Amino acid sequence: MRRIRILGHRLRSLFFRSRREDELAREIDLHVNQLVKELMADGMREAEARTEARRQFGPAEVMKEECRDMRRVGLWDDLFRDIRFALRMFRKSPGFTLAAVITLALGIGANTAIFQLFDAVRLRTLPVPRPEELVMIRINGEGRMGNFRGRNSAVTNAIWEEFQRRQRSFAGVIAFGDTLLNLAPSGELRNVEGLWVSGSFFSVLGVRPQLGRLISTGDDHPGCGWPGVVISHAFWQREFGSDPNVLSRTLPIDGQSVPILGVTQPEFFGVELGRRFDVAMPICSAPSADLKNRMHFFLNLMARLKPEVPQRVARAELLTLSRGVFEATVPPYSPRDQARFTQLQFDLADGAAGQAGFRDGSEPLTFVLGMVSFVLLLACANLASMMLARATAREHEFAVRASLGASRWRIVRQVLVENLLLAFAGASAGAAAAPAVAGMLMRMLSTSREKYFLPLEFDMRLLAYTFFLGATATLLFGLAPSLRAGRMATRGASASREKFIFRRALLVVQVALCMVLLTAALLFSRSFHNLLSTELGFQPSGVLVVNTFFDSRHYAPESRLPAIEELHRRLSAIPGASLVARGYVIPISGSSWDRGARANLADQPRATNLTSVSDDYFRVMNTPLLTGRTFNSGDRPNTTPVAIVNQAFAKRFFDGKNPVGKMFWLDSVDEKDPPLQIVGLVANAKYDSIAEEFGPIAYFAASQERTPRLTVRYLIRSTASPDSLINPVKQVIAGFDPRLHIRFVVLQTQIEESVSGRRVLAALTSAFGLLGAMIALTGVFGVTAYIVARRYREFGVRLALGATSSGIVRLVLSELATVLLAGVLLGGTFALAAGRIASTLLYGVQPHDAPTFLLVIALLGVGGFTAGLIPALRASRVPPVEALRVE
Amino acid sequence: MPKPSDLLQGTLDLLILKTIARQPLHGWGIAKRIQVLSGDVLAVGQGSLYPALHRLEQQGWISAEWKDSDLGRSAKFYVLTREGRKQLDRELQSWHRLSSAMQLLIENA
Repeated sequence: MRRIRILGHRLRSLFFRSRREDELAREIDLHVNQLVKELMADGMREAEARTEARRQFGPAEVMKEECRDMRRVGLWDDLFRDIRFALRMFRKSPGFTLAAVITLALGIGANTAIFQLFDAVRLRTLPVPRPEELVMIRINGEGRMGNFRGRNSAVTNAIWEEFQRRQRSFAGVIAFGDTLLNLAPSGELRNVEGLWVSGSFFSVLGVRPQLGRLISTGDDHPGCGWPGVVISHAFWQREFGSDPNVLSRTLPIDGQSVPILGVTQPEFFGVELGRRFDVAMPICSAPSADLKNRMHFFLNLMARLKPEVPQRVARAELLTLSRGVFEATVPPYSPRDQARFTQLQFDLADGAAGQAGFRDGSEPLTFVLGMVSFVLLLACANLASMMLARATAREHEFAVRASLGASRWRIVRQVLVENLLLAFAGASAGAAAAPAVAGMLMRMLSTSREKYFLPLEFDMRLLAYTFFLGATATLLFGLAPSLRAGRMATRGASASREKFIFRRALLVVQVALCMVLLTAALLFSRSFHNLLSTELGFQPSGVLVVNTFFDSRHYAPESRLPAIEELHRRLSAIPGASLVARGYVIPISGSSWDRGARANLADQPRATNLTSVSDDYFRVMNTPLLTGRTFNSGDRPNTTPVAIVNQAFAKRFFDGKNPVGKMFWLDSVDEKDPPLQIVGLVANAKYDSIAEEFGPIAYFAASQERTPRLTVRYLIRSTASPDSLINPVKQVIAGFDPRLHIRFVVLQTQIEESVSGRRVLAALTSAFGLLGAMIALTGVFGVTAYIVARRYREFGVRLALGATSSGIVRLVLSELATVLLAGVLLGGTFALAAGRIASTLLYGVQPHDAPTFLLVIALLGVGGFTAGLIPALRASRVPPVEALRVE
Repeated sequence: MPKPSDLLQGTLDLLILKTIARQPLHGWGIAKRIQVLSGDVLAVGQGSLYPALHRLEQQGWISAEWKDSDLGRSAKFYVLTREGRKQLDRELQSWHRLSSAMQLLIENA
C-alpha cells in the first residue's frame, strides 16, 4: 500500500512537475511573508524585514533544489533535459549528426541483417508446439543403393511402413519427401515445391489448418489415388490470392483435377530449413511403382518423443528395432550387398529445427557474421575519434557548465545521453532496413531452380539483439569521449599538451580492421573470379538445354528411340541452332550418376561418374576428342556396347595409358552384363561442381540404350544467344507433340548459379570491404585534420623558425605513416588468422596470398596518404603570424 | 546570532512527526511549534524544513492537503499517515534507547 502511494507521489511529481513546483513556491512564499510580518510587528521597516526574513529562511533556490532531490525526480528531470539539450546540439550540427547516424545505421543494420539470417538458420526451432520433443531418424552405415529422389532420400516406402508398424518408443512418427510438382497440363513445366507426407504428418507435428482440414491418417492408405492435397498459406496467397473459396477449387496434378482439402496455418513452412512447401500430398498418391520399389529412396523420417521417454532410451530402442526393419525390407541386391543392407542401424538426431540440410552449407554465414561485426567495430572506432574531437571542440562549453555548478558526473552523463541518442537513432534506422537486406540476400542465394526460403520475422529477440548492438556501440564509441568531457570540465579549459596517443590508437584499430575486411573482400572476389574462369573442360556459353519429359503412357519402350531421334532432327533444323546433341546427365546440374567400375574382373571396383550422350555431344560442348572416335550411327542396341572415357578415367583405371580398344566392367546387380569397349578418349570435364578436381567420367552411347529413358535432354549450341532459341523450340515441340512437358535451362546461367553462394559471399565481403575502407579513410582524414588543427601554433612556430612547407608535410605524413604501419601489422596478423579460418571457402587462392596482401597494403597506403595529404598541406600553409596570434 | 544546532536528519524527522502527531499543521506552524516548544533552543534553519517535509511525504509517512489557514491564506497542511504513526513509534523507541544509553554513558563516564 505504502509502495503504491510512494509510486503515486513519484508519478505525480514527474507528470505534474509544474504544479508541484508552484505549490512549493507558494509554501515558501507564505513562510517568508509570515516571517516578514513577524519582523515588522517587532518594529522593522518592510525592506529591512524582507532582507532579514530571507536571511533567516536561508537560500530558497537551494531549498527548492533539495526538495526536488527529495522527490527523486531529479534523475528523470535531468534525463529529459539532457535529451532536449542533445537534440538541440544535433540540430546545430546536422552534418555531423547525419554522418554519425548513417555510420551507425550501416554498421548496426548490416549486423542485424546477417544476424537475422544466422538466427533463422542456426538458432530457430520449427514453428510447432513443443519442438524440443522432435527428433530426426537417421540411418548409420552404408549399403543403400538405388534411386535417390530429392533432398530427403533416406528411406524407401517399405522401410517407412515397417518402421511405423514396429516402433513403440515414440508418441508419433512421420515420413516426408520433397518433389518438384508440375502444375502445367502440358508444355513448359510449372514447378512448385511438392511435399509427400504421411497421414500422421500434420497431427504429430501439431500443425493447425487455416482453412478446411489437413491430411490425416484416414487419407493415407495404399491405393488411395488422389484423395486431395493441402496447400501452404504462402501458396494460397500467391496462387489463389487468398481466395476464401479455395476449398472448392482443384489443382491439375498428374492429369487429374485434385481437390484442395485445406490450407495450413501461416507460420508453418514445412520441416525443411531453407525451403517452403507449396503443396502437401499423401504418400499413397505417389506412383505405385515408386512405392513398391525397394530401391526407390525418397522419404525422410522424424518422430516425436514421448515426454516420459528420454532420448537415450529411445535411441537404444531404435537400435534393437533396426535389424528387423532392414531384414524385412531388403532390396533385390546381390547377396553381398543385401548382407550390408541388413547391417544398417537407425539413430536419432535433434529435430527441433527440422531437417536442416541448409544448415550444413551455412559455415560461410558464421564467417560473415564475424566480418560484419568488424564493420561495426570499425564504425565505432571511427565514431569514437569523431566524438573525441567534438568533445575537445566543446571544451569551453563544458568548462562553463562546470563553473556554474555542474558536477563531473553530470557532464559525463550529458555526453553519454547524446551518444545514446545517436546509437538509438542509428540502431532504429539499421533495424528498419535489416529485414529488407536479409530478404535481398536470400533472393541472391536463390536460383531460377532452387528457391530458398527462410522465415525471416523481425521479432523481440531480434529487437533485443539490435538494442544490444546499440548499447555496445555506445559504450565503445561514447564512453571515452564522455569521460574526457568530464575530465576537461573539472580540469577547466586547459591548453595542456595532448599526446594524441589515444586518437592514434583508435586510428590504428581502424586501419587494422579495414585491412582485415579488404583482405577478405579481395580473397573472396578472387575465389569467385577463379571459379568462373576455371577450365571446365567444356564451353557452356551459347548452349541451351531443353529438358523433355516423354510420358510412358504415350510412348511404349520400342517407339521411344525413333520419337527421340525424330525430335532431334526437327530441333536441328531450327535456324540459329548450329548443332544439337543429347545428354542424360548435364554437367553441374545437381544430378549425377555413378557406379563402381573395374578394368579387370579381379580388381576391386572404384567409382566413376557416368552419363549417356549422343553422337555430337562432344562437338556441342567443345570437349576435344583426343584419340579414337566419337559415337556414330553404327552404335545400336544390338552392337557391342561402347564407351568413351576421359583422361581422369584412363588415369584411374589404365595408369594413364591409351585406353582405346580396352574393356571395362560396371558394377551391377546382374554380374553377367557384358563389358564395355572403349572407343574414344576425351579431355577432362567437370561433372558435379566447378570447384571439384577433374574426376573419371565414362560416356555411354545414347543410341545403344535398349529402353530409352523418358527424360531426354537436348543440348543446342546457338549461333546467337541461347534465349533466342526458346520460342522456336517451343513451336517445334508444339508441332511434334503438344502433350510433351519441357523445361529450358541456359547452361551458362546454370553454371553461374551453381556458385551463387560464393557470389553472395564475394558480394558481401566486397561491400564490407568498401564500407570499411570508406570509414577508415574518413577516419584517417578526420584524425589527421584534428591533430593538425590542434598543432596549428606549433606548425606556425616551426615555419617561423625556418621549416619549409615540404618539411611540414613530411612531418605530418611520417607521423601518419607510423600509424598506418602499425595498423597494417596488426591488421595483417588478424587477416592471416581470418584467412586460415576461411581457407575452405577459398578457391584457387591461398589464405596468405602475397599479391593480395601487397595489394591491400598498397591500397591502404595510397588511400591513407591521400586522405592525410589535405590536412598536411593545410599544416604547411599556416601563416606564422596568424598561428602565433591564435592563443 | 548563535548558529542553530546541527540537527541530525533523523532527529528533525522525529521532531516533525511528533509535532504533527497531535494535529495537522502547515510548514510555518511546524517551524514555530518546534521553536516554541524547545524554548528557542532548536531554532530550525527554517528553510531546511521543507526538504525534510518533502522527504517524509515521499516516504509515505505524512500526507498533505491545501486548506484555509489561520494565516489568512490557504496553506499546505501536513498530517500523519498510518504508516507515519508506526514510523513515529519506531523512531521514538530508538530515540529512547539512544538517549538512555547516552544518559548512562554520561553519568558513568
